[in-house]
Amino acid sequence: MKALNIAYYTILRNFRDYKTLLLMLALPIMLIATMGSALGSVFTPGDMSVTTICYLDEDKGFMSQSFEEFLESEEISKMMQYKTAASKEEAFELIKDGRAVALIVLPANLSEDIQKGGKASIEVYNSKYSSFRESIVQSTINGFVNGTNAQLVLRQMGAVSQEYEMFDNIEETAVTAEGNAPRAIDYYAVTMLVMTIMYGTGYGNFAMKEEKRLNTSIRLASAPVNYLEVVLGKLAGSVVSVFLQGMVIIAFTKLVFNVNWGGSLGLIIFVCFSASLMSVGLGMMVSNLGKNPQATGGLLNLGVSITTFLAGGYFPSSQMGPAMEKLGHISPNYLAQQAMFNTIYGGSTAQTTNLIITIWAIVIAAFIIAGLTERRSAN
Amino acid sequence: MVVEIKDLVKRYGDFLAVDNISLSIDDGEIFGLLGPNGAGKTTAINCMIGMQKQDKGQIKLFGQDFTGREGSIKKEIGIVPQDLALYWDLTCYENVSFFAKLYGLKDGLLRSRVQEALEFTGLWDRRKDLAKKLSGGMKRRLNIACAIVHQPKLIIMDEPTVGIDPQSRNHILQSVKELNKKGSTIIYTSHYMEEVEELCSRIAIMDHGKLIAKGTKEELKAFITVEEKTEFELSSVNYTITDTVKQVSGVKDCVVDGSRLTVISEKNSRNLSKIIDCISAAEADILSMNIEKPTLETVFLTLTGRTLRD
Repeated sequence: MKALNIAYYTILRNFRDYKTLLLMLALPIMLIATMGSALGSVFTPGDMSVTTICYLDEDKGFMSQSFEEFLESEEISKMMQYKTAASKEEAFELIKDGRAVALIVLPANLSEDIQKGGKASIEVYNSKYSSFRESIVQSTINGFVNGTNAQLVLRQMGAVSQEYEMFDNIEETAVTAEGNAPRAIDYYAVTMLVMTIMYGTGYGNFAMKEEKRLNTSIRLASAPVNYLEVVLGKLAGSVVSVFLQGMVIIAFTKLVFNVNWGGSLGLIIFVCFSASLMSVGLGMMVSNLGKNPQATGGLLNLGVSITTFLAGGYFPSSQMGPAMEKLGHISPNYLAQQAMFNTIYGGSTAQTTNLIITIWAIVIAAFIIAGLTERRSAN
Repeated sequence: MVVEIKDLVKRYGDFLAVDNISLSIDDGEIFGLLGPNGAGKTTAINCMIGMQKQDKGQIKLFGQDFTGREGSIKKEIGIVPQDLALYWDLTCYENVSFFAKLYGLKDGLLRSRVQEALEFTGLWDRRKDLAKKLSGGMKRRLNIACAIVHQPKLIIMDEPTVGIDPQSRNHILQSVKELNKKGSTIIYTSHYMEEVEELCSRIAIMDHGKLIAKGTKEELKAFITVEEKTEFELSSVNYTITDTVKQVSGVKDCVVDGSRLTVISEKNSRNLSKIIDCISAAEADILSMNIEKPTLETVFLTLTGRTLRD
């Protein structure tokens, strides 16, 4: 109960700090609006550089023909071009060198298996980390598979259908450039949301040190309240403050800018919460490792600007070459951003899960280090 | 006995902040703890409230050993720190309410205690104001309200009147007396010697981490006094008067300076009426008289070689 009391008043105080609040809410909303309109051309599919994939056909059946026609269709070729690979090894080399982002394999006997009504699958190989472009590839393939499945069901029901009709179906349901790729404002809504959450490191930084600065630590120490309750209260208050600010950004951008937050809002909210924990945890950890909270605060602010840049927060890193794109993967922003993009644009569920697990691993590590250094820092 | 400290030692590396002090404070006392800056008062207080762990020695509060973790003992302590310990962006009511909840107060009892504390410190009408909007004196009073809301049996006040206007200072001094009347034992530290003289029944003086004197005000004054000085302003001075006054028992010296006669006597010589008789016999009228007595300031200066504000 005492921890809840501390958490409640921490939130109250954070929301009364109008200067910080303005910075945490108005600034990202302004950036979303300005960058969303100013950098719109970067996200227009026709202007966006085309994503290159490798294609390995081991099937050589009617599915190969369908798939190639699908890839060469006007709508898809705006986004993707393919290189035919002779072997998986050759394709992996191309991916490793950054000359392609994914390998799509139509395995042997695919057409035959489909004709027999058995189980069949198209294999997609991405690099270790899922980037935004790989999400596009993934969702494009999903669109093709969905269309094929729908076509098979129609055929089993006795409907007369040709493969070209199947592609129409796919285009309508999944792979239109407008529906499955973000507009600039959609992109920046996600990256600026994550940036705002990452600025929550400031709350973590000052959570306990502020009590010392205000001299209230002496009252807390002399009150019949466990030290752990104080830390938990401060932590919960800080995380909820950051999380609520994130929710305000989501609600505002949805209602005012009509930003696409996808159909799985619950998962987006969970990613927001996980990222809020990560941000406050990292803030507490850095605060405890350093001595002066003003200095660590400045360092964290600078750090967030850098991690936001690396993760493509201000300009998509995929547009800055493969090296920058890879570098972006070390940014904590990247984890939350990518988990959200995957969720919104139908990327791989397994990759989303991996990203969320990675965020939680960072959360645990940050809190362990913060916990180990807390007492030393408190004295 | 509310506080019992035995052989308390606290070091910071090589620096000995508290050097083997022992003292006891009775129930219902206002106990003054004096010492120049860096004397070790705050460290001793911090050990007393569990904020810092002592290296050696024993602290007993309300008859029980206190290690800093005993919640039942902590519930009975209220601390008024020297530096204001408030949340500036909370209102007066919220500040007091926050700390009250840490002591387990809730619902109706919480509301009534918060109101009581704010009324007691004269801040009830300002309860909706943010702490940062208050004047210096009001902030000091809010600092006290946060410490007394749970009605502690032991209140530790560390320089509660620093830097405030005389009106607020007077209000605080009256509050201290009132709290004491209600049954709280108070440990009071101040740089203002007259406050300590007015409030405290017993006093301890610390310097360089050591307890160098303790006792009642009278005991401390008697401890340093070796002679008494009396000054008379006379209508006329007959120079033979000094010879007759010097004959009075206990008089060590007598000096005339214009119309002023200064008489130095041994401590506790009780010879004032005889000196006045001598002056009357010399047909001089006494226009004014001043008996100089040692103050706590003199005691402090004598014992530490410094004034309290050094």
